[in-house]
Amino acid sequence: MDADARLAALIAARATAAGVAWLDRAVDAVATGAAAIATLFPAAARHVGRGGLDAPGATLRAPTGEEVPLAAWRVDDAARVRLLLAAGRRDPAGALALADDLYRHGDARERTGALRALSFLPCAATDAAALPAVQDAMRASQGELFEAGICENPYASRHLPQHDWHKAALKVAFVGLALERVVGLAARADAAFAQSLVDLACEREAATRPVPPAMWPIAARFPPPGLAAKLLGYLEHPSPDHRAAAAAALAALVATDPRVRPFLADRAAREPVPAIRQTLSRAVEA
Amino acid sequence: MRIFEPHAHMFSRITDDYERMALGGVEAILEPAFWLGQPRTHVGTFLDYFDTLVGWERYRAAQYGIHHFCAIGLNPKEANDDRVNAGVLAEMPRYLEKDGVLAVGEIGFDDMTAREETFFAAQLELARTHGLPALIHTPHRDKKAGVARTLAVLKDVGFPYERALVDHNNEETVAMCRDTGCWVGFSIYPNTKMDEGRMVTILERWGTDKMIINSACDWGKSDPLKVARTAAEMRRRGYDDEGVAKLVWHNPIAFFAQSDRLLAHDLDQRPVVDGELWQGNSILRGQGA
Repeated sequence: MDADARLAALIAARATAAGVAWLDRAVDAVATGAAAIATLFPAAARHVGRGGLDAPGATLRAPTGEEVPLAAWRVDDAARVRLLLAAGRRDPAGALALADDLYRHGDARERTGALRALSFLPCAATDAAALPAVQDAMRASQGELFEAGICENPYASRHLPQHDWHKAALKVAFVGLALERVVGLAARADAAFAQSLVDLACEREAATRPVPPAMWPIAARFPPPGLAAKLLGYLEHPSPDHRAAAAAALAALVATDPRVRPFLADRAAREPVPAIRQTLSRAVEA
Repeated sequence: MRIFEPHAHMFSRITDDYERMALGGVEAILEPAFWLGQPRTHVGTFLDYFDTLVGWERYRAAQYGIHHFCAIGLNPKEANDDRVNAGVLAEMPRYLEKDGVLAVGEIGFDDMTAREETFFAAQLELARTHGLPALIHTPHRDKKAGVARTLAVLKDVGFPYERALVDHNNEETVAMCRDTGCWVGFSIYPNTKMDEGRMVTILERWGTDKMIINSACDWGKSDPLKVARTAAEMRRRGYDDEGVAKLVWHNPIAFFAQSDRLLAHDLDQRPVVDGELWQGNSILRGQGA
């Protein structure tokens, strides 16, 4: 089943029959050039709805190979992706520039839809025409818009220059989104990015504000001085999220810093959460 | 008391105004597009403004639990400016299909020029094409002639009166608007246009059917709480809760619901409650972490 058919099926499970019929007509009209996407794109939500797509665990395969999770998508996002896919069938080379234009003229929901479409459009691997839209979303202060720009978005991760990617991924951690939602995080993270994460943790600790735990496994790949001691402290944190992240990070550190091993063993003996205990025990044995 | 504020230029107001309006019972605001004090010289400046109306301003209102809607239009003042008038009209269709755009407006006459009339009539056609009602400004000067000419244009182009809200009326213009069956709007202002006491006197004479009041709250000396203050004056002069609610809640909803984009039950859900998300939104300054 291609991306369009798969989205159509997911939408059909959530929208009314009239809404589905409207969308099918709109998709045909865009694909044949009979109607302008510029006025159909904003109208989509009124026909298909705005609720969650409600497809936890569902993914959509991008032409570049990534399986993109749809958990954060709404029904109108899926409908707008269908419209852009139709435009892409009509004019493959212009699809990403069109998505950028629709983003530029869209409200927050339309912009989110345009961003979610980027990875599925023709030439997504090579055409950076929609990069300005992603860069705009990076600067957005509206949660869902920012999220659609950088989370589960292979197009963004592929085309953002390193400096922009660094700032966008750091903002993911800063606003409390899960870092692992950034596609290709491991591949693009470098020492400078890891340092930014550690600086964020220090800033939060100084302000007695919460630290996003997901940063530690990334930081551990490029450990600054003192990281091991800081993580060992988090191993005693009352929150299992913090202990789990610290354990995963320390498991990566133990190969280069064997001093931490006895502390991992000590905690493993007292750790009540089985998954964390297992991470610690494996690290001790490694 | 629930208030639907049907004409407020929040672009020109500070965030504290949203908080005060929320405390005063305002649950929904319609912000019509207007001028920006300084004339615009590029179409792009209009588009950025329209984008703000459907974007950031909606979001800013949601921080205070207020639903934000808008009307999109080329205002009469700048309809006279050939640097922007035709270009703005050409871009309007894509905005008129957006969610939360419940009307074309404000449009109409300011100095009653030929250009104003051309673009007023053209925008009534756009309203018809996109299934939207029209929010119509009337001139500050030469008010009576301006309202008469406004009603004449509606008649000439055959725009349905019940889909027209003719705004900024006073004692001199109510009768002719009532005769047509259009909705009759009043901007309650400190000093000028219309005040709370005069407004209630008008309501006592004409009733509340198809009457709509607003605070306009714009660049000038104005007060975003004027609808709430007028409601208080109505109570003082003997209106019951139902009578007040009809004027400040049910009437504006009935008018803008003609767009088919305003569902009364949507208004029963607050767009945002402290810390909760509306459409997933929360200003991204890391305070949620």
